[in-house]
Amino acid sequence: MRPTRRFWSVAVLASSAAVLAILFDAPLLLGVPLGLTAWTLSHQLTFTSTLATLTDRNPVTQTLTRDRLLVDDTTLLTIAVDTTQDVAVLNARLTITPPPALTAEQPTTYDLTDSSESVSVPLRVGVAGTFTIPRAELECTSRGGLFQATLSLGNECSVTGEPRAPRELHIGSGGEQIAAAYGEHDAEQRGAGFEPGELREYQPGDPTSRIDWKATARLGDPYVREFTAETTRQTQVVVDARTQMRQGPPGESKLDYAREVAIWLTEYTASLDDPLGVTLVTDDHITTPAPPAAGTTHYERIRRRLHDLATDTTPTPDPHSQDGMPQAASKTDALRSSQDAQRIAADLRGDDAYAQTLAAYFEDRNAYVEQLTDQPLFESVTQLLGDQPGTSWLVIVTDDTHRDELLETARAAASQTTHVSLFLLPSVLFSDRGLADLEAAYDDYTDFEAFRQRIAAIPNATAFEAGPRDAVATLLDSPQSMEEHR
Amino acid sequence: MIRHPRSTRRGVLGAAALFIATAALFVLGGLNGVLFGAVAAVAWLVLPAGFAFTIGQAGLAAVTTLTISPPLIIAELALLALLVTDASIRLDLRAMTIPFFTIAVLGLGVYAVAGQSIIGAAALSLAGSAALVYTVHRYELLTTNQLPMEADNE
Repeated sequence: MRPTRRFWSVAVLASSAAVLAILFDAPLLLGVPLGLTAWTLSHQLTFTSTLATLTDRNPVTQTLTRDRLLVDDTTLLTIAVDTTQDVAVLNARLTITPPPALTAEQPTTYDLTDSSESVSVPLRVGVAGTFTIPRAELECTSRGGLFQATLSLGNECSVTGEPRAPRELHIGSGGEQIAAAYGEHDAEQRGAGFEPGELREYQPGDPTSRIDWKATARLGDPYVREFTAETTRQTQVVVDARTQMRQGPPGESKLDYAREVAIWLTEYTASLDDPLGVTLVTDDHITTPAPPAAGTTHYERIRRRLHDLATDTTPTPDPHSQDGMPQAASKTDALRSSQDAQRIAADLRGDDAYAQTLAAYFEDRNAYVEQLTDQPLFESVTQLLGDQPGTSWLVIVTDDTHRDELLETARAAASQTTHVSLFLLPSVLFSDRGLADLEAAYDDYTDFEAFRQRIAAIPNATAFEAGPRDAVATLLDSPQSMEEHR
Repeated sequence: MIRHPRSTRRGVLGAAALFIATAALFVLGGLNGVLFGAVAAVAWLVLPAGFAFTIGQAGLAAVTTLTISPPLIIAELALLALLVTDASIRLDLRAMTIPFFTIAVLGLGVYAVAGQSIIGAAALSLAGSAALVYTVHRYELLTTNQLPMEADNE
């Protein structure tokens, strides 16, 4: 309880009367301080009684519409005050004191005048972290205006701001998360080496020097011991950083998820100490390859380079979009490939006029492939494999926008000596429309899955989907998905 | 800053108390008493009740001495009633009886001391008032859970 200026003026009045009583020797003037004290005590006791009632009843309730949100997002803090009886007579003023990390977008002080009042204040989260909004402060003034008091009422609320970055990365196929995609790679070479391997029975033709005499003596038959050859696998990670990869919310675009996948691959490769190179593919065909190498410094340089991969937050229209809105890749693009073109040309060897007219366009079967050389990803990968023939594992991280280019790139790159893994980000998971139309989104997703399976069917190639786990889960929980699973 | 001072709200009981106090002042001091009563009435209309009480009490001190007489007792009771009927005080029996009973006891002490030393009486009235106000302040901290738990530290 704090005295107000009015209280002090009353106190000065009482003291002055006491002084005058002494000066004029007038004891009756001492009635002034006594009477004013009685009056003040009445106010004080009434006020105290009201404050005690408020403390017991706790008529303030604080609630948040969302307690977990991304940085720069806004949540609504609602403070409901039951102002029946007690608060109404106190000229109460409500003050909200959010922590510095939360910015109130409206005033934080309100006079409570109605019998029941609710105040809503939008709070913007400025930085990541968990913040506690303290109890609201109710500043009350006694009815006579002699005293003021501030009570902390209501409940505390916690809000968690999460950074705008990819979270809960999903990597899998057909909606199924892969628990452990890769372990230590199998050298697929047995024979002489350094690491002891399996025992097997002696076969005619095996050199006698490889007989394991101890095992032979123990088991009664001649046995030879295999040794595992130690190898390193030269790995190249190609990250598509073209315009269409900027699709998605700020901090959670395709490129952000591609970066997460690439960093994950870097960690994996570093754990095996395999030589690793990273190539970025951009719109202007400029590729910036990092020659494969191993070593802590090299891996750290790659990590830094991936972290520095700039993303433009401006949504970029999808080149396949009819209305300028980013959308899933065109289905018709995925229907043709160089092999498709050759097959169509073969089918056109008829006598009818239609076939003869079209056959002229298919005379040069390689024209289709030549067109693809203008595509940055295809060009980069083929050039990369030409420059670095020792690459045994090629990883491409991209989306499904340029499907024909991707298909041909995988076909061109996969070989007996080079295994190709594609991590594909389905455009439907990053659409500006979100998953509002779940049915249409699921159709796009199944179309993507068909495309992924088509790539996975290429010999020496594997294809995975990558993206936000919650979006994949939402799609797989859709009624349409449930229906298909039945 | 104080908002919406409700202490200027007036009631019929307050007006009646003021009328009785003015009449008693007239009996005790004639026209001078009425003059103090008129000034107290103006103060009662525009200022908190405590100021009207102060002017009325000053009028009593101006027109009479501390000699127990029926008009003086009536005037004192009427001026106290002016405070009690202040509309800004909730008519709560506890909020009324405790302070006025306590002040009555303190007033008796002041009266007793005043016969020997006016300075002592003045000091007693001020020190007693301050002690009472501070006591209620501590009581308020206790009832609203604002007192630090000193027992926990021991």
